[in-house]
Amino acid sequence: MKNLKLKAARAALDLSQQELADIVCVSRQTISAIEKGDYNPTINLCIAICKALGKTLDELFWTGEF
Amino acid sequence: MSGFDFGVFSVFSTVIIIYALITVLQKIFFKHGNPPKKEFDERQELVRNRGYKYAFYTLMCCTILISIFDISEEQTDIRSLLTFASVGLTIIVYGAYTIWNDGYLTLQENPKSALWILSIECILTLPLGTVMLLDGYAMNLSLFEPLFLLFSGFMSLILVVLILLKQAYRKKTEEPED
Repeated sequence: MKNLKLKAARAALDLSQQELADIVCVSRQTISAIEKGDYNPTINLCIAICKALGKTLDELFWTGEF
Repeated sequence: MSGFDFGVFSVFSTVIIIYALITVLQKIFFKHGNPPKKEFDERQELVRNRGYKYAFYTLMCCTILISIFDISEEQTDIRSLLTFASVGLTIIVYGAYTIWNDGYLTLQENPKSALWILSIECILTLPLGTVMLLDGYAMNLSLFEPLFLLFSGFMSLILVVLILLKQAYRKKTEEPED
């Protein structure tokens, strides 16, 4: 499932995938895979992304589905 | 010590010496500077771990197949050929999987420099191996040296092709970022 909330938050800060990737020390392909829903990041990476985008875990990664 | 054993011993000792040299140079290089940055991210490490697993299965299958043929100790050239083929196939499986899933290159490397290095290796090894084979070098001595060069060259060539294919595929399929 695509993570549109992450994409929207990144776009709101006018950050490219590469810029966000550089901030959280991962590859651009990893950010792309998270946004496309192809990769489930670890909690550490989720926290790093949330800090970089100034959002909470709930705002970016909570889907409300089980 | 037979020619085959000596060849294997030479290759392994060369690899160990090169590895030790790289390690020492890395330690000297990073001694006074900043600590080295993270090489791979968590997704890349996952991809590389899967790549190692598939490579291990490939090597295991090849070893079983070679043992089925029961090659005698005298047929050192055929043993060399099959050993290189299985190791080469293992590296190709690992390379193909990790390149296709963007786990082959570190965060600091760019595909262009990797392409250059692999291409240079290809240019150095393939023609030399072919010439050694065609000149009848193998008729008098072991097949070990030309085969080693040819397999190294072919592996580099396959990795170059895979990196280029992946880049082309990415350009074709990747949607715009924003």
